[in-house]
Formats: sequence, C-alpha cells, structure tokens
Amino acid sequence: MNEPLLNIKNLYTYFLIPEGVVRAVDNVNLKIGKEEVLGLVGESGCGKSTTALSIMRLIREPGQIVGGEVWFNGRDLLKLKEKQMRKVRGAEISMIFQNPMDSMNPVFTVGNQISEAIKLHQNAQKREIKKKVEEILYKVGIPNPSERMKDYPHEYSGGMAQRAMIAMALSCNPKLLIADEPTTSLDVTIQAQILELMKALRRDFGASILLIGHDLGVISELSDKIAVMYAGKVVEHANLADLFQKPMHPYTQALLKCIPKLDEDMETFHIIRGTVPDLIKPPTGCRYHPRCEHAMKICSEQVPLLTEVNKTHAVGCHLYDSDSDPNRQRS
Amino acid sequence: MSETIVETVDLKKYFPIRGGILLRQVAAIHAVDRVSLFVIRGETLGLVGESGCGKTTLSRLIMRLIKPTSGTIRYMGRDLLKIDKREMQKTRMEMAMIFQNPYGSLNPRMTVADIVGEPLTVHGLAKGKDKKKRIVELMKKVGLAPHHLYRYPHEFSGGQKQRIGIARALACSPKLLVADEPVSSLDVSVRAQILNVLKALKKEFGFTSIYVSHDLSTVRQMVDRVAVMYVGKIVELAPVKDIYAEPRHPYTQALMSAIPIPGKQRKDRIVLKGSVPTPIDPPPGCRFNPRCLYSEPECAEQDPELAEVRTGHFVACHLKR
Repeated sequence: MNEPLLNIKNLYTYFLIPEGVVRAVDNVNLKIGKEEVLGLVGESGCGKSTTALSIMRLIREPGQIVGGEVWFNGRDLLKLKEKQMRKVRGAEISMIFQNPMDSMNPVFTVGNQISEAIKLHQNAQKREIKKKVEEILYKVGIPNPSERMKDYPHEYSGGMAQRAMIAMALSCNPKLLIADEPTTSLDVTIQAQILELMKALRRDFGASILLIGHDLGVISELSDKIAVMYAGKVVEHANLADLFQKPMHPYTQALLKCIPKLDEDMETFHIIRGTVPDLIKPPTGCRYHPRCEHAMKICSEQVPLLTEVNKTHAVGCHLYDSDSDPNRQRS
Repeated sequence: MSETIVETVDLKKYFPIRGGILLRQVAAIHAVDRVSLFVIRGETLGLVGESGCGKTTLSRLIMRLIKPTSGTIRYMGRDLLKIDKREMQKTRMEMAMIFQNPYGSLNPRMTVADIVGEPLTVHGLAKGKDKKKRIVELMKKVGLAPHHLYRYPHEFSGGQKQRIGIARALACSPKLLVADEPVSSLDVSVRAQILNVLKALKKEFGFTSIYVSHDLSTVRQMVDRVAVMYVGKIVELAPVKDIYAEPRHPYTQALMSAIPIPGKQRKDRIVLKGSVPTPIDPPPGCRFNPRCLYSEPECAEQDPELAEVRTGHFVACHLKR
C-alpha cells in the first residue's frame, strides 16, 4: 500500500488536573489507508475519543497534546496554524458523535445547519447550496428532504437526527470521517439502519472512516482493520478476520470471550478480573499486567512495544517477545 | 401445572397529556396497552423491546409503583389493586426491584449500611446487631467488603453501586425480583461481573424474576422465557431458545437479525423502514403493520390477539408465521 491517508505517530495527549497528570493517550500509533475503515475499540476511558479529538485538534483545557505527529494527506496537522486547521475540520476531516441530538443546535433548522458547513468550505450560490442540502439529505435516506430540511432538530427522531448528522459530515466530501460511537444511543433496529446506511455511503463516497466504539459486533460490521485500545495505548492492531480468528493480546482474547453467545447456553459470563486502571497512576510496565492471566516478571517492569508479527498484525505484549525472530520489527 | 406468581390481565396504563388553559386531557400516551402475561415460580421472564415500548412502565406496574388505568395484577392469587394499604406493604416485602441507573437510585446522603439496611427497618425484620450482621452478610453475597459499610455511594464505581442496589433488593429475601436494565449503564467487562452475581444469587435463593432489557445478547443467557414488546403491546412470548432459534413475529425476526455478531458482517439482516411509532397515536390495527414486510390489508384494521402457535409459544400476528 502507498502512503496512508492518516498516520498518527507517537501521539501523547495528557490532561493536567490538580490530582496529577491523566495519561489519556500515551504513545499511540495508527494508520488509516485511503478508502479504508479502521475500527478503534476499547472500554470507556481507554482514550479512543481523546485520540479522535486529538486528530481534529479539539482537545480542550486541561487537556493537551504533549507530543507526536498526526500526518494527514502529506501534512502534520499538529503543526498547522489554527486558521489552517479550521479549513481541514469539516472539509477534509469531519466527525459524527454519539448523541446526535446534543450535537445539533436546537435553534436552527436542520437544513440551515447543513448549509452552514457547505457555506464555510465551498464557494456556492444560495440556490446551489439549497439543492446540495436536499440532495445529501436524500442520500442519507431522509424522506421528503425539501420539507424536512425546514424542521428543527427536536422534530427529528434519534435515527433521523443521526442521518442528518451524517449528511452534515459528508456535505463537503471529506477524505476522512471520524464516527465516535455513531449508533450507541440508538435502538437495535435503528442501529441496523444506520449501519446499512454507512455501508452504502462508504461505497458511494469513498471516504476513509475511523469508527470508534465499544461493541465489537457493531465495529466488525464496517471495519477492514481493528485497533484495540487499553488504558491509553493501542495493544493490538490487525485485519478484521485476523483479530477474531487469531487474537494475540490477552486483553483482546478476554474481550472476545466476554461476548455472550447467542446459540448456546452459558453457565456464567466470562469476566476480566479487576477494573480499568486509574490513568493518573497507571500500572508500571504493561498497563494490562495486573489483570492479565499470563503476566510474567518482565510485564511489570518494561512497557511492551506494539510490534509487527506480520504485515497485517501487530501486538504489544511480552508474550510474543523473541528478538532473534528476523521477521519481527520494532515499530 | 406450575404455580403462577404474577399475572396481569388486560393491563393498561395511559399517561394523560394535558393542554389548554384548563389543562384538559387532550391525548394520552398508550404506554402499556392490554397486556396479559404470567410469570411462573422460579423462572426468569425477559421483557425486551426498544426504548419507549413500555417495558419499564410494565415492570413498574407489576411492582405497583404506579397505578394502572385499568386491568388486573395478581400476585400469588391476590389482586394487588384491591388489597388495602397495609396488606400492600406486607406484599411489597416480598417484591424487590433493581433500577437501571445506580447513580440515581441510591440516596447520596446515606451510607451503604443505611441503604442496604433500610428495607429491614421499614419492614421491621431486624434491629441492632442482627441488622448489622444481616447487612454484612448481604454485602458479602454481592461481592462488597465489610469495610465499605460506612461509605457513601459517591465513593463507589458504577459496578459497585449496582452491587449495593442488588444487596438492598435482596435484604428482605424477596420472592419476586424485578431488574430493570440492571447493567445497561455499565462497561462490558463490569457488566459480565454483575450479571454473574445476579445469576449466582438466583441459583442460591431461587427467587422468581423479571429481567427488563434491550440488550438481546445478554437476555439470551439470563432468562427462561422472553416477552417482546412493541409500542405498549406484547407481540411474542416464548421460551428463550425457541424465540432465538425461530422467531415468529416479523418484528422479533427483525430484532433478532439486527444483533451484530462480532467478526462477521451479517448478510441476513432485515432492515426495517421508518422508526418506532409514537405511543401517543399508535397506528390502527397491528401496531407494527406500517413497518412490516408482510403487511396485509387486514393488519391495518384489526389488532391481532396473542395466540398460542405451539406449546408455550405465543404470537400476536394475523399471519401467525
């Protein structure tokens, strides 16, 4: 594959609070190729949303991007001036959030809000913009768009609002769409609709997608590759099929075991003992070691690096350390 | 036949919507509409459906936390709507509930010991040393340490708070436990821990329970029978294995096919048109007919009754698929 569209290198985002420093994103490396969908999975508080907001440079005080590079389309976004960054947001990278109702302005009509994005980033006549808004609302499956665009957000149902958010995000043909838990607040049947819509749009628009979520089922519907995050670090990164068939990191293995089965009875649910660590004082060495079934001495001493096992699979775990193996490269 | 613990007959709950200067009733939310079901001793009945379908309202009606518009609720043969206040309080001792939001359902100004001990005081079951002993015992059962006794709810994580809620619910050794989305606010790994606690306790105490949830993947492992609700009505009621293997109602079929399966991209998904209708003005006839793939003219005219299509499997659909 040639140059990836998005290449995050050694990203560190910390929150400086009176109690100490929260290492929310700690040395994260991720790549997304053109027209590729990367699923970013993890439990709440593992840093997946912070990673997304860091890409958009939307981290607010007391948060701070402390180090790293975010290469997008040949530029390091972290080095851009705020004015330049504004041109990237919405036009080249756009984002949809978990709760569509909260991400829209209640006092403007839906059509008004979508046209705002187009107005900001494209030179277009009023009539053209209106036509564009209608067109895009139609594409995301809003019936009777010329009328519905005059509605206010509260007149939309949750599923419709998320469709409108997607329309807004796609209105400027972005190269990268970041979707942060896009279906979490929706009901199952509506979730199915939105997933099918995103699949169809993916074919039509050809944008790359960073899909963030905690539900491996939802993530695997869309993703080509999956990155698993735990306590601020990416612990495993693999193709969809590889991750499910040959999960390598003990955390990934445990997560997969936690999924309740639909076709057989289970005496008990599989659990991961302990709780997610406090990121102010994360465990030394591998952050998963206090909960890990295979923890060794080295695990509490040395931080494992995300290492490529083969071209499509990388894992950060000491279990797979073998420096003599010529196929393995430190990344 | 096995003993029925709870039975509802034609239970209805309409919430009035008032408007105008005189605040006259202008419309009503048909939250629960003519629901008849029964729960057998020792079983767990799952109540599933999408948000707004009336599952929480139904569970609250059964607990008699709200008053129905009409219909009957029978608990161990007694009509809960006819007994007097004192008798109701006695009956309440045998029923307990776990709420969805552990943050909202624990009084922030009470210690854990007070919270868990309150039902014991209210029902006059234990005092002083006995009470403390019982509280410690309950806490152990749900996986909390005795040194947590005098702490306040805010000092606990979401999972631990839910454990406190469970301990409180178990305080009076209830015969009926209603759990309303007990884990939906928790993370995946914590969710499994709490569900295991519930499963183990159920095994130990053998109470009857109603498990309300929208998460079909956990329901599969938690219950014996499932009732699927859609806009205030039960559309299908069957043993859990039957309903997952062979859902009959078109809505249940769509619901089942919408469960994402990790590692797979589902090809067999039935994607429904439109969204759940509002319970204020539900569609005439079968409430699912505007979204149904197999809808026939009859469906828009007549409301289908719940009918047994094979032993223990009830479906409310004109096509009886």
